[in-house]
Amino acid sequence: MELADFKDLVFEKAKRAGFTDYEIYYEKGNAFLAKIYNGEVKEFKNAKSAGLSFRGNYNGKTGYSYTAKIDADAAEFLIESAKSGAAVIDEEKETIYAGSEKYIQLEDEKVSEMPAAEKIEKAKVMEKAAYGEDARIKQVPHAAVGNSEGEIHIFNSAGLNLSRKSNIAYAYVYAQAEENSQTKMGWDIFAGKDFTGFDEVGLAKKAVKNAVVMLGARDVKTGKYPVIFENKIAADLIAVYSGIFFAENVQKGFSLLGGKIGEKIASDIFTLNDYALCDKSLSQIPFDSEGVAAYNKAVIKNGILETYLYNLKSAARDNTVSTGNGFKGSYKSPVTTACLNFFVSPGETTEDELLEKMVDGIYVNGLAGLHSGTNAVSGDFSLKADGFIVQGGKISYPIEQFTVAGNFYELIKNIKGIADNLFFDLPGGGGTFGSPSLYVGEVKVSGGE
Amino acid sequence: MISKNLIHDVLTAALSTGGDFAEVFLESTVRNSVSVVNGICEKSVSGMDYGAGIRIFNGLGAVYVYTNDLGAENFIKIAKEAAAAVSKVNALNTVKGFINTEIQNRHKVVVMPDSSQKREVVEILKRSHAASMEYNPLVTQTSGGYADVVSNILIANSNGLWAQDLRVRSRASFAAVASNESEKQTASLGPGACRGFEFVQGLNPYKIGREIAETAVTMLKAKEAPGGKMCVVIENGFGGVIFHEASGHSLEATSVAKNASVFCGKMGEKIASDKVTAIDDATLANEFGSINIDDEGEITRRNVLIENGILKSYMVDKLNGKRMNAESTASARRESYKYAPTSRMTNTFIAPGTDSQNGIISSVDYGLYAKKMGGGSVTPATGEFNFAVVEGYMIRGGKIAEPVRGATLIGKGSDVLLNIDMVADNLELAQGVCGSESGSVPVNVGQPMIRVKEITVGGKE
Repeated sequence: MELADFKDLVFEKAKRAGFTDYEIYYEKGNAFLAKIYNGEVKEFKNAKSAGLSFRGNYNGKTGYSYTAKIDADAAEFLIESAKSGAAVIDEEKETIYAGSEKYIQLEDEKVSEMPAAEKIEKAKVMEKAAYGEDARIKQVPHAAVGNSEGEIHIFNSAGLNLSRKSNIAYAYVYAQAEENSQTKMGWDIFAGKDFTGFDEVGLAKKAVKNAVVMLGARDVKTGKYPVIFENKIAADLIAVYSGIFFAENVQKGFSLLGGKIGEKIASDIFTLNDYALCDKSLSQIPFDSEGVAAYNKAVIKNGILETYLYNLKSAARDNTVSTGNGFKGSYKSPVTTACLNFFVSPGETTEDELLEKMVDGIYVNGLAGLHSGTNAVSGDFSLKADGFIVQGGKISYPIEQFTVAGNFYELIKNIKGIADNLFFDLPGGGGTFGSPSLYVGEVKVSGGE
Repeated sequence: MISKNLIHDVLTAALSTGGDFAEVFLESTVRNSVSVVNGICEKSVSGMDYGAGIRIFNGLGAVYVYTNDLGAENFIKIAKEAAAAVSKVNALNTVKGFINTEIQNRHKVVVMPDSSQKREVVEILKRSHAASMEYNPLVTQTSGGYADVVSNILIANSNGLWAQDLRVRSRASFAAVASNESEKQTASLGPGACRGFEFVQGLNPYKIGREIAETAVTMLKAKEAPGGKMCVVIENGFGGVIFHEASGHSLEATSVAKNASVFCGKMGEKIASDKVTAIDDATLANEFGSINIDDEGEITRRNVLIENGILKSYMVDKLNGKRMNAESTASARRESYKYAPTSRMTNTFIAPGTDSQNGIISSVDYGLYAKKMGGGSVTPATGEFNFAVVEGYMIRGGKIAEPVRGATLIGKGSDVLLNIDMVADNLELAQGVCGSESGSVPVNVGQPMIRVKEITVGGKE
């Protein structure tokens, strides 16, 4: 059955079943990935999938359902299960949105295609280059080249009819270096709208460098140290704690930022933004999953909390308007809150100058356990880390087997310096996160020495 | 759910360019979930997942494609597209006649999950909320969730395998937050099983609500944990996450076959202290990580991984088995048809030992008692792991002393296994969701109380 016919069928059934407002959110995607191991294609993946969700208001409550099958039985399932779901809801119904006045118009993207054979060849070159770069590379566990494209459509009974497309091309390589019975892993990633600018040999060399520089890592003494988080790591930390800025978490008491709008919650030099469009990021987001127009805004400006992030429901609760941050994780999920391009404004100093400013301390370039060692409510974190001892403003030697522990709310207050090297992660379910390297002052370090 | 003739045609198309082996994994899954925040039912979702993945072995490599359009025309077209990526020119293999795999269902379901049960589920979650709030005025928020899954799966391959199974799982989750003026502490529980609606009906929401409230309040009053190397006693149940992260992932063929595990080439060698016997058992009746057949259609079994410190077995799937010249241990798993399977854990635990719990605590002069653990992660190549202690106490002079919070345990799996020097007899399993190459799969972790002679504790004091 065609999507348009299916939509008409579901809407007709919804109306007949007594739904007052209703919406269909459709998602479609293709994904390609080739992984090379020992010169052979170890994994070749080519996937096509589509699915849609229904939400509708019944007796003043909102029910949700979804299906990956598009036929008459599925239409019946959507309506019946959304209805039985709505019956147990206590909350007020959600708004089925008629549309914003204006949306950012994206230019039609010209994405250049690359044949599968060429992608495989590039992954092979990448693996070979990693082995060839340094004799201490004993394994290249991942050498992968992939791309995906996606499409979203929203139709509803208030007349909304929106769609957008996205593309991403990426490659990554992991290199494992061994020396004196120590094993270290290094990796690097390329990401773009397409493969323009992808340098497979250069990427392999960087991954190798990231592995071998960690060889000879020593233990570190437990104590308090000034710390700089590398840009990639800082972006991960910002991502973990992004939820404290969501109005719905503030309203339900899951954030400590309640009543803090207009107050100083961070260092003067710290500005945190949420942009619909941003040069260095791959995400361009004209509207959210509720059809509300997205736009560029500061969340923290020079240390002052400017706004929370709202969807339609949390905005209504605070008598304000949505900030265009109502998102679904996938078509299967209900609308909650997520970020657009969420990033720390870069400073004007280079990373080297930041190291000179710190003089002595630790440069952290790896964090593990972000899903378990962080408490999104209290802001506490205690994370396994990798990094370097910094002495006299210069990177000195690698260190391992230590943790960094602190509190995010405290950390943003203590920021002492921000580099100019803004880096964005790949777009993910909760948004696209970016940060330059951050000099965060003193942090508790526990080590094995 | 789909005809044998069509699957035969799909597998034939998949082998049309010289692939060694072809397999179809098809699923039709219905899920229901609800969430209750602060006693208010906020979300209720029901959904239907449907699709199939086709895998072709090509030497030591594999091609994987998936689609959710299973009409004959598209299904065969997708199989042909996959075949086009096979690079070897072998003699053509043919698809053997299908033989049904007889499956003995060990996980009996009393009441099949159904969206009409949501009202009762919501009541159970609200009772836990009320119990948490009543326990102590410091409890300020709660959240509760519930999810059930009924999945019909079919696995068929070119060797004539035809295996069908029905998998049913239910899980509830409960969390309480305790707050003072400047801080918040969370405690949670997430019981689950391969059971139907009878599972949530059998939970005691009053007891659960009070238990998590008690932990959150205790942790709110706790001081920051100290950092550094010390002796750590890890309690039973979810404490088993230490074995899961520190060793389990490194024993999966997923990393062993790539030579990216610290336990490569160690078969028959001593990798743990004599006190450690570790098992992965997918056959335990109704347990959350159990499966009758793995996701390659093999009947599951009990795999002894480590016996009295000696490495006895890895966890192996067919493709990695081919790469490392080992037989499958029926350990292939995948989140859904969107993932090619690879070797994964099911119910993985350290077997009971002979030490007493009192004996273990009283043996420690100064150390940490990790009563409840949170999640963790590992890099199998280096064996470096980390995980969070969500409820911890200091041990002083052989007695459990003041509560401490914010501790993380880090180390290398190869070291920690050798440092487990006491194992009690109170084995308990606990539920979790494990994420890795083939997606997120339900698992049990488990252990009796254990003592780790020395490990690095990351804390703020």
